[in-house]
Amino acid sequence: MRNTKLIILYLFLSLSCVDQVRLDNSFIIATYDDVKDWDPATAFSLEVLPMSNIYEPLLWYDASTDSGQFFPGLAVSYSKSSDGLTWEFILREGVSFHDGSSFDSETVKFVVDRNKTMNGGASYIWSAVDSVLTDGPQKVRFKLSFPAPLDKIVSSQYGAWMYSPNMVNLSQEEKSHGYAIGTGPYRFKEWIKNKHIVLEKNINYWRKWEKGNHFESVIIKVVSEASTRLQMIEGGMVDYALLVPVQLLERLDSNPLVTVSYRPSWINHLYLLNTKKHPTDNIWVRRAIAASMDREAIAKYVYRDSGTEAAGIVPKNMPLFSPPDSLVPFNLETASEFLVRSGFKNEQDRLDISYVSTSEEYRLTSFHLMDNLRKIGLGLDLKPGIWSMNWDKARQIKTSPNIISMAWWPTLSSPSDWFFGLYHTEEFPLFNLSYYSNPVVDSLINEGWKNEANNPEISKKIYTQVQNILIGDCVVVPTVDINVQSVYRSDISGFKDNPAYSTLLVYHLSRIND
Amino acid sequence: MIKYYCNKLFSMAIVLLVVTTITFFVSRLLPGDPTSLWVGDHPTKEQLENAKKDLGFDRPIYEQYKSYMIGLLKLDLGISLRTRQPVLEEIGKRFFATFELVSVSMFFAVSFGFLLGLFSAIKQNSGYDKLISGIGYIGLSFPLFWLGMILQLIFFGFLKWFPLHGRSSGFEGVDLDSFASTGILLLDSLLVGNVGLFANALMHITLPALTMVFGVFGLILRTTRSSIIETSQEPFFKTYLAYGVSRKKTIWFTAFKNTLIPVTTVSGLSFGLLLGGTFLVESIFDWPGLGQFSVMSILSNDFPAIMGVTLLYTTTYVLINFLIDLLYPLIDPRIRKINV
Amino acid sequence: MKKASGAAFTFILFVALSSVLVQFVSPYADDLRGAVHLESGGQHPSLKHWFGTDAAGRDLFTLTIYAGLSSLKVAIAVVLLSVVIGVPIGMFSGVSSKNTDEVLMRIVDGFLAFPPLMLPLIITSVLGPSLNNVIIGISMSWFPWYVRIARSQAMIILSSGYVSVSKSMGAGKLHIIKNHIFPNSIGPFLVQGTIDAGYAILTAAGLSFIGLGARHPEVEWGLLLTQSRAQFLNHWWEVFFPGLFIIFTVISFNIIGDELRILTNPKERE
Repeated sequence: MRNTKLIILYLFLSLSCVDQVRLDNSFIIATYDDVKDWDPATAFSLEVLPMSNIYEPLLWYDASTDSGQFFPGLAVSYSKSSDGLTWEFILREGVSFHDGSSFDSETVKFVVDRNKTMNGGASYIWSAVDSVLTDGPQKVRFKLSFPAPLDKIVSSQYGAWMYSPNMVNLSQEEKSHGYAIGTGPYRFKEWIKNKHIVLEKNINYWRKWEKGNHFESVIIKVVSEASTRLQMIEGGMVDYALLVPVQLLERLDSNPLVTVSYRPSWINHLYLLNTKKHPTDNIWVRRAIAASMDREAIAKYVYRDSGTEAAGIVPKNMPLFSPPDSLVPFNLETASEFLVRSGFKNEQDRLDISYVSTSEEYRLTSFHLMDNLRKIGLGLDLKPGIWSMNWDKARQIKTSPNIISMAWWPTLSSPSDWFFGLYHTEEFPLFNLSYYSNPVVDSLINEGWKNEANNPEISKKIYTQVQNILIGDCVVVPTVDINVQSVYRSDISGFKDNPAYSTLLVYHLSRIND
Repeated sequence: MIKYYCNKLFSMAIVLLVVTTITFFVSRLLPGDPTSLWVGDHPTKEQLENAKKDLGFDRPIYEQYKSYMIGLLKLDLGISLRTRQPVLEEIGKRFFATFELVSVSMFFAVSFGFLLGLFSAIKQNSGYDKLISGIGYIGLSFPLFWLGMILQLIFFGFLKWFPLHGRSSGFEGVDLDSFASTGILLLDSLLVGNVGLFANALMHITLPALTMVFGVFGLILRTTRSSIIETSQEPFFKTYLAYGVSRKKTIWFTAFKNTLIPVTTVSGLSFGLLLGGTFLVESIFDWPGLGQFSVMSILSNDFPAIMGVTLLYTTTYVLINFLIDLLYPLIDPRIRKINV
Repeated sequence: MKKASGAAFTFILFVALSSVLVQFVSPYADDLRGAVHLESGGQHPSLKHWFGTDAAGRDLFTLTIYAGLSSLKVAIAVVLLSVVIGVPIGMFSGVSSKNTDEVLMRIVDGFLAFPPLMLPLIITSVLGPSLNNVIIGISMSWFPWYVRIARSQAMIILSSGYVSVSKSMGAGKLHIIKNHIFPNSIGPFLVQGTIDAGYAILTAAGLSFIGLGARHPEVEWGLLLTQSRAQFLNHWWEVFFPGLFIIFTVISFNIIGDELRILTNPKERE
């Protein structure tokens, strides 16, 4: 039949697109969406991928070990006053930006001052800084309004990059083609919207290029179709693919040329319980819900490799984490008793849960919860939707659901990021969708954060206390700590498992040659 | 004659007015406040309120209607709340992707439908006839989204012959924007001589087009077949046979002219079905066209975008039917003589 | 054709009866009320689970059979609603003055200018996702077809002999509609309704697929298909069986509709 011939023709032609040998020494990444905001002060999303290779922070935070350590970045050392209000950083000498201008204390002052005024994206991390003073080109002094852990702040994943002041002088026209002037190992070469970003080696990089195996360029391709990303990595057209759907990963099991691995992250999945809406305004109803969630089964059967059972409200590998006394254990009999204690009689009243419709994990978890609640006599209505719609409804008490799914990850390397973002009293609801307001917790959170720099052990205890209160008040049901997938060509090495940065640092990567 | 055309034009204009009005009021009834779509992450209360004013959602609904209609005359379709780009631009970008898919599907649906219908009519009541007619019949009962998924399962999942979704695989070394002349990938790639890209685009369009074609070719097949069979009952047909011309040849000679009208009519209908099919097929195959955009806009209560796509779809559909109405007098001399 | 329509009718009967019975007979009936078994998700067909299990561990056979109930409910409701709304308007238009008729017809044309699925999509998303709203959404988009049919029926019969006699005797519009037009036009409505029943099922499944129709723990074929998307490449049974049932059900309605067309219009040749 005519169709067979056509199919053979297609096959022949398609083979020509696959397994192209790449003669240039470039590292190619396939990502799912494009950069939206080139301003390193406010960029808060996928921008981290190119930016973390173009810019550098003053310090790096290595969270791959239990205690966590700071490594020198653009600052070689630092010290702080005993009251934690004054910090001094000694900057690295001989560092210049990609445009030749030098990096010095004036740059740092400029960046921090500007970020504070920009008031967008992650710029809030600098809110503890009162003023920045320069003392010679290599010394910077920060004056803080309270003893915040500035070393954590300057090593943040977002909003802490040192960029050239010359960038603000660029015209709108120049900016529309993408722009970046940093000190990092790779420099911005070109951006074609929704197609690709090209970065090339910064020959004058201060770390030098000792190993002969560094990549000459980094190409970030925007490939919105997941299966195309898969095919590209199978065929060798890209070295790293982001967000490959779980159902496609199985194909890679038998392919020795591609490696799929999971690495720990600081992301966790939570379910916030609405404390101001009937019937979840009743604490025993909330406890019944918490006791109906089988974390172990969810981690094992729904998340599998991509998640582990949560041990607290904050991921267990976060610095300054220690487990709360206990999370509400899964037990349907107990849940039933809780419900009886709540006095909840009206079978007509149903709860509702809102979750992101595109997430299979949230869907199955919600089905599971619905089933268990059904068994103890609570009706749950499922309301999947797009995140922006869900969020919009949740921020008004009238339309807000009783339970809402939430994924959270920190900007600052501290559990306080969760507490500030999700459980701190909010006059105008943003992410505190439990509508929880507890002045005790509010002040504890502040105290914890203020003590992080000087008395981390105290902060740790405080954070445990906060967790205990939140669990006691049953504001949230955490389910899983997330492991992020890494899909890359097997001949690439140098990956580091550092959950503090959800990005690729290409400088450390190389291709193993046979 | 001119009167006939003018009448049709006038009806078309009224219909579009009705469509616009229906869609406007229905979509304004959408629950929820899409302002947050617009404002994005981490807004403050002031930002939300300002956005509401900027977008004009605090004005009474009749005022909003009036300003929208005025905007239409200036071809201003507003700004999409979800993507923050002008609706006209968004639609323009995606229009050609859908146009490509629908045209390719239409072409194959009509050709396969017609040829197979012809074949069936010639071999009337034989095993072939029953089989082909059967398949054509079944095609209309298939859920398009199911067919799409099954094709993906078989041809991507098991056989790995075709890509899963998308329009092209981010082809190496090609800058599509530099020669975006027609916006139709298949054409553009040939115009530039990039056979690899052409093959790639062809691979990507095969499964979605197949899905669309299967659903619709049955209609054309059955119409062709029954019209030819009817023709074969006509006296002039029997005359040909009496003169010794074989049945097969006679059908071939007379087929095209006599089936033209019914097939044209049903093509119009099929085109409408294909347009309707784009919502589901594009969603499944992640085809960056209007169908996928419409579904996303509807699911996110993006008023301006919903209005924009509705207008485009209905205008296209109405236009095509209008064009078909134009064709009738040309095809059928009898209509020409009637002053409608 | 007789054999085919017999088989079609039997199948629909089977779907109707089995979907009602399965709740009482199946060992997995709890799955229909929202029970999930995460540990047995994604199992392929076996003796234990004839159609395998879905990602939540529910027995697909039980789900697929029970889903027939939603679809039949939608089919009947949509046709009834469309007829109840569309026919009176069409008949009225058919017996009215030219101007009224023109205006009504332009509005009807407006509805019909939407490509199929678009208007149900918009209406259902306005009303909120649920199977009942899907019924309303589809009916709101389809009733114009019945307006048209009713109108042409009215006009045909209006020009026939005994109606003019009735008119000359002073009969009003309502009387004519009730006594002459309506009884003589059941045929086309029956045929269109049966065929539409099938397409209503397809449309409703499409809406559920997008997420605007049935919702868990409701069970509906389109919903089952959309729920299968995360793993369908590895779990073919989650796609295959529900789709098969949709096809057979819709074909059955089509076959019965065709048969009815032949029966009610003896002049019709295949």
